[in-house]
Amino acid sequence: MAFSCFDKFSYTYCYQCMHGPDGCMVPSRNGEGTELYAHSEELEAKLRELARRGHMEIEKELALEKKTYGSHIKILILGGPLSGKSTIFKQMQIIHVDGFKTDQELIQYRGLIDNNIRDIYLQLIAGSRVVGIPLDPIEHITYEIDEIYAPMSDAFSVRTISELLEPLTEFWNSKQIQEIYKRRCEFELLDSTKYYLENLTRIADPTYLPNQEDIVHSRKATMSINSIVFEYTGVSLLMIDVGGQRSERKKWLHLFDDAKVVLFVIDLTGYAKRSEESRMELSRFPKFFRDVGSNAYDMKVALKIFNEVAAASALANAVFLLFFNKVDLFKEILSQVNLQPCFSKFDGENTYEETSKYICEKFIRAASSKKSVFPHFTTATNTENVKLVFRACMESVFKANAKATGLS
Amino acid sequence: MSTIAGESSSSSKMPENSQPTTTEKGSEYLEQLANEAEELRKKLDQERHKLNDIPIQQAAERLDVMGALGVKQRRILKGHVGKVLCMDWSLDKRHIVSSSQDGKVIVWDGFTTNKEHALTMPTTWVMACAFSPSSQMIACGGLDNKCSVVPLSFEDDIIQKKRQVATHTSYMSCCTFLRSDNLILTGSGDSTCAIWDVESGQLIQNFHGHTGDVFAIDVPKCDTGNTFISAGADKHSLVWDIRSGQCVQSFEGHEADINTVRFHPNGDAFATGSDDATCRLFDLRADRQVCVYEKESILFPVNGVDFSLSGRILFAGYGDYRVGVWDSLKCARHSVLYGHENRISCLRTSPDGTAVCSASWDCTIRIWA
Repeated sequence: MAFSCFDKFSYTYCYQCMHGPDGCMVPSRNGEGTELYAHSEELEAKLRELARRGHMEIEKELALEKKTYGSHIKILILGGPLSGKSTIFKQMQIIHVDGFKTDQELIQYRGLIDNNIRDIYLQLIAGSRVVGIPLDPIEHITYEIDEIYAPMSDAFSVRTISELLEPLTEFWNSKQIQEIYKRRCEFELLDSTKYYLENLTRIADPTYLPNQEDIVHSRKATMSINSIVFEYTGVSLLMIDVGGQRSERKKWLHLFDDAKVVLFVIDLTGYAKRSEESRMELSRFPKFFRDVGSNAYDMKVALKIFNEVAAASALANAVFLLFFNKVDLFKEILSQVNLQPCFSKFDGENTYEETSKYICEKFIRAASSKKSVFPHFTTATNTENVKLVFRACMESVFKANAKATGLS
Repeated sequence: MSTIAGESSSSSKMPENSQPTTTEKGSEYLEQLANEAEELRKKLDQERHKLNDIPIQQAAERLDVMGALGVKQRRILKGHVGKVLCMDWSLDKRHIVSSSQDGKVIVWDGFTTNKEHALTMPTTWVMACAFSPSSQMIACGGLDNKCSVVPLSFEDDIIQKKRQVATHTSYMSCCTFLRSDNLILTGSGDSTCAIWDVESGQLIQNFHGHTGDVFAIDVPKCDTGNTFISAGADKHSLVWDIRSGQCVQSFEGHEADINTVRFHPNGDAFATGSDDATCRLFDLRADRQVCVYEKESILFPVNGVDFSLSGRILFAGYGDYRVGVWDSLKCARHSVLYGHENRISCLRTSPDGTAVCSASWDCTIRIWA
């Protein structure tokens, strides 16, 4: 690129010889044609020094923050849709940070729980049509509930008021709803259905504020990215939940190439479900569609996601922790739904021991044999369980890191 | 640039998003429809081929071969701790804004290499940033799904004046001011682009049409245009009418994700860079791909392209750490610029065309001239 840098009419900055209009090197705050000119050598020197001083101050700040940036062990939470990634994240806040305490937070969660309860009610009604159990015998109850919910037209106005307590309890205890609930794998239903509907007495109180267990049972789709920093046995951990990103993983996964740990969460009950969220995942990624088919069970989709994540070069140095979540619900539905339709080659007994072992081996085999993969079985809504499992996880991580550094 | 049409674009299918029905009869019907669509596509390609005259390389034979440019690295801007993900020039031709993996957004004086501002965004992983036309503010965003606008001043703690303008349902991959300090155009992983009013944060226009993540957008430099272009994971580049929100043209030819797109200075053509290791030139008036910039030896993704001021030179930043310099008319690679130590994530020519800036995962930004 040829430059006529000594053309006295030129207003071009020349990066080759440090020459500019009137030799000015003053930072400019304005656009073309309105540059600030220094017309004296003395003023120019002063301004240059001021800019340099500001630069050095910024350098100092950046150097300080650089130490902080590298000091955390980064833990990245990934997994299939609805697997409980954000529940694990909430548990970390409860166990290692200060949990949820402020009235404002609790009131927000109360609103969320009220919406969850209404969603559960609507999902059960929809489920009755899916499984073919008519609700005519309890029509008077659903009519009453609909009447109470009708004025609550937007999400902010939904409340589990005390008038709802009796009809909702009657609704939940009815023979029809209990039968529909047993077949909940055949339609979409929030996992916290049983928990909330059996705690209605407490929740319907006008002065109700949710406790920590209520909060971990709440369900809200994660849209953005969340992170917390906490200390664990003297080590600073940064835990990141990117659960809501439903876009091309390969375009943002490289942003976490400094993650030491990947916590991959799997919904054990996914072997019996075909949720809408997984359909969405399949429709966005033709590769998934081709490999597992459009009618795949949620667990097959999660297995495919894990296979992709484990193979990502950005996470080549990460330790993988497998969280097989929802053990409590898994044990419940094992008595009703066999593992065989989801994994056609499974030919063992439909017991918890055999099925969980088979699923576990499936996922471990999906990763390269060189990968450090540590499986754990959890119930993410149980704080004590998560605490114990997390301790075991961190022991695995420290052991793996020690092995990598040759200290073992 | 010449209006000569080149070879017809290669045919490529749209991503298959429909779910086949489980019944055999339904599957047959879908297959029949797919075959019919393929036949129609072939007919369209044949008709287009009749309108071609000579390839652009042939038309460019009369032109002189470009001599040695003497371009080399003139500045290196160091200070980011994480990968630099995006950079943008100010219209004053001197300042540069850059964003990185560690959540830092830095405003540089490219001439003196001084840092003028260093902002720490509350959510790290800032994937995109842009300077406003007046150079008075910058926009940035990323995995937080939002685009924030920060007015620049020499006061302390200008991050407090940050304003959240745009909110997508997935990460924000790219943003640019739309020829005014009050309008921002954003592209997102949620497959949409949108125009937002900076003052009120209101959504002005939404653009639906992509079937995969949007990775890049660009606005023509000439002031009369009412269009912009977007490209992404569906391997398509779409041209949009800003006023109606409609897609007015669609271009295909790439075999993998398109990572970057830039208008030619005259606004009648654009170049794209892709994971398939090629850059391609598309002409709006010819409505097709007119050139492919590729070499057998180039295997790495292209993450940034931009034209020189006249449009004769196409700069391309590759995943193999190098900047390729192409003769855009003769479709030949002219030279290679070495210096970066990790893959290049973004590349821009300065507004006056005197320098090219590249950002890289090696945590540095380099200015070439």
